[in-house]
Amino acid sequence: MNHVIIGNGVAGITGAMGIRAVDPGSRVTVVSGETPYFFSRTALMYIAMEYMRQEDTEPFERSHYESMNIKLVHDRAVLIDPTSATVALENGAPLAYDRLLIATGSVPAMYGWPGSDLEGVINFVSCNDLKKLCSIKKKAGKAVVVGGGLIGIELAEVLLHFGIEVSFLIREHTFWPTSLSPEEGRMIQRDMEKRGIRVLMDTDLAEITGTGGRVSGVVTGTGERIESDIVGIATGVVPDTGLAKKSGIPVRRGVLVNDLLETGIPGIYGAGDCAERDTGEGPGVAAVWYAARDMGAAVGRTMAGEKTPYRPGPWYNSAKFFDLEYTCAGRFLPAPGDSEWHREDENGRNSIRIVHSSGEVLGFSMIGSRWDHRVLLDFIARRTSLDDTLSRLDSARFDPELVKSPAIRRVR
Amino acid sequence: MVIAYITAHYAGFYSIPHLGPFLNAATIFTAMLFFVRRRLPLYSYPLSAVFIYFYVILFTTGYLDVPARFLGLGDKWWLYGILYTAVMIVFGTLFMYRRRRDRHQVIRTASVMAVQIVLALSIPLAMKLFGAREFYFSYFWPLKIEYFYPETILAFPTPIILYSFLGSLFLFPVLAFFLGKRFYCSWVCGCGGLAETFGDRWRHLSDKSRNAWVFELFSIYGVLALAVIATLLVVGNWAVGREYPAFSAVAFKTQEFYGYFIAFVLSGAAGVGFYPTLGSRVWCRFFCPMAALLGIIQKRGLFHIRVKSDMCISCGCCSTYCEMGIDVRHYAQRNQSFTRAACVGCGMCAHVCPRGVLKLELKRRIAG
Repeated sequence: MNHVIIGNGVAGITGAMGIRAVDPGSRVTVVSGETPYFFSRTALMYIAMEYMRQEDTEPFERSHYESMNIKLVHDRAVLIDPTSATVALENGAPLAYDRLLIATGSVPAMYGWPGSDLEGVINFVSCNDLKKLCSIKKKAGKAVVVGGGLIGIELAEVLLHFGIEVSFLIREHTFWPTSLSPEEGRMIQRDMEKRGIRVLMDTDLAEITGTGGRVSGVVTGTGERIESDIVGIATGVVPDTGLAKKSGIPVRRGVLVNDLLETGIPGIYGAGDCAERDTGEGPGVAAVWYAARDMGAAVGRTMAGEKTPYRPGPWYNSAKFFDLEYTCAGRFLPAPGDSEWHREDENGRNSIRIVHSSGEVLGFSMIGSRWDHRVLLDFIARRTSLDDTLSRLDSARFDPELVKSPAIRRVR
Repeated sequence: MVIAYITAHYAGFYSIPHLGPFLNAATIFTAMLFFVRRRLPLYSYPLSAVFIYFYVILFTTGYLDVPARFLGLGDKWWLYGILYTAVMIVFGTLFMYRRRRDRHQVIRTASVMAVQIVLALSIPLAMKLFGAREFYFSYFWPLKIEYFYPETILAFPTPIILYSFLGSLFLFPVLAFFLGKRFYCSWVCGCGGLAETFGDRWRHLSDKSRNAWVFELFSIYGVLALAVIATLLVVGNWAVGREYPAFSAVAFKTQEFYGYFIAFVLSGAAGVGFYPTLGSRVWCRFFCPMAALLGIIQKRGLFHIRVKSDMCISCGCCSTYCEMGIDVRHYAQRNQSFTRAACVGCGMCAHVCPRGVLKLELKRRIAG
């Protein structure tokens, strides 16, 4: 059996290892145009801040692929031909496959602002973006970051780290409203402002202005002009479906897949950010590390002949906003009819929010300290009451040794 | 190469002081270039060369006795001790400031600094000033191998000898079992103290590869075996050396070799000299017999690093910041709580983890 995987991100590589776990004998080839080896995209900001070298972010030793008999090809896949079952590459000879996995990930969402192609406009999701950023970060004095989500705040942190004056344009009324409550969003906003970031809420980007092909500033939706040498666009990502579309593989927002992560075409699978689950329940596209990893593990086994449906477990996620840690589990934003229990500490750097309804806890959103999401999910699974949960909440803490989280008293 | 060079000197083939300091620097610099030829960033060679050069001068010449006497310190070793402590205070304070948000790091650093100032400098210095032979209360056999040598035992009063023996043979094994070897390596020891403070900026350079791990196993347990053998030979020589001159010669050579090669070359020149090329814990990781011994106990004890399942994003901050070259991420991304003999429990992996996946714990291991 000849397995070809397009994309060496977490879905692609976990997929390759999943195949190996079931089938030690078949051929596995992973194609990527971005980097020769799998690196952890989540560490992009640490490379940019020079806390890590790029090779430090590679999750496996380079010799590991050879010892697992996984072949890595550093080339870009340009076309899949399902009739002859081959993948055409930009430079090398076409690869024949019996089973193919599309794990091309996502690309930044750009909304066609005038001036988007000026030099100094950057994204922050790929290795190429990193190179661009590294070549300009030490020369720039001012930057604008657009998009109030995780990548936006990471990019703002990197730029601030190099002493660049940052203006942060957020279209919504509070920071990251798709995950955080307004109070939590304001907590993060206060922290950013204390660090010297100019945060502009309810502000979108109208135009990027430039002189001589280089960025000179932006014009916001409210007509304000902001001078800037760098414009970072972090307005979310969309599935990278270019290759699938060209090759005639069914695509809606992402590459359409079923529970077994099979696309409409036999022998071709999709996993990770680029896949859209066409199952009628839950979000179709889940562009998070954990989902991509779990999809990769499932699809690898399926491709090797051991049918393993991908059934996402209860939701959890984690992040870090500067030094504020964040964990959520279950239903992190209240649905109509749900209630919330919310406390913040004196300094406004620590908060606990619990979503509950008719005597049961449904979800948690924690900022400022460390929590074990499995214990939190266990409260939800056991339909624990709010009072019981609160009395046993400390068992879910995951604070480092000798670190005590401050008492959470103040009600917001 | 440098090690070979110094060994050659020790063996009498080549006498460094005759070459003069300039020639020495040039020779060592060239040797460094050959030794670490391609895998390390270029800027790190000269700095390592400077550090190693400093140690070679310190060990093999009397130049540093001159300023020491000028300052009224007797000999170069006291000057070195004061310099060492000063460097730890300066860089330790900086470290505490940088990591001020993590109470664990602040307390731990305060501890190593306090031990260095009080037990490793002030008390021995006071003992010397009062005319007694100095004793380092923070060092024990096998790190301070001579503390089990009969001539040392005979030179100190009984309470100190009891302290030293109980420390090495009873207290340390028990503490390592219940707390992990970090109680010593990250909270007390001066070698670790310098690595954690002055060496902090180079901690990421430790080699995380499997090959380095294999080398570590051979080298560290090799040195431990050598320490035990040297001690036995010296004790044996004291007991029966007079009757067996051949045995006595071997014992003497071994003692001298251990004193020179392990204590001077590996813990000093290589241990600190390679900070800018191989990371800050070269001595602790590859050569320290105390670390080896405590590691064996730690492996069977209560200390472990707990991994929160399914939360790792494989970013690699933990592995990068591990000065002992442990690939922490390997365990974190497969949801495996673990204990490694090498781990000095500095807690930096847990501190830098952006997803709070890791936690240092003292419990019987829980699955997952």
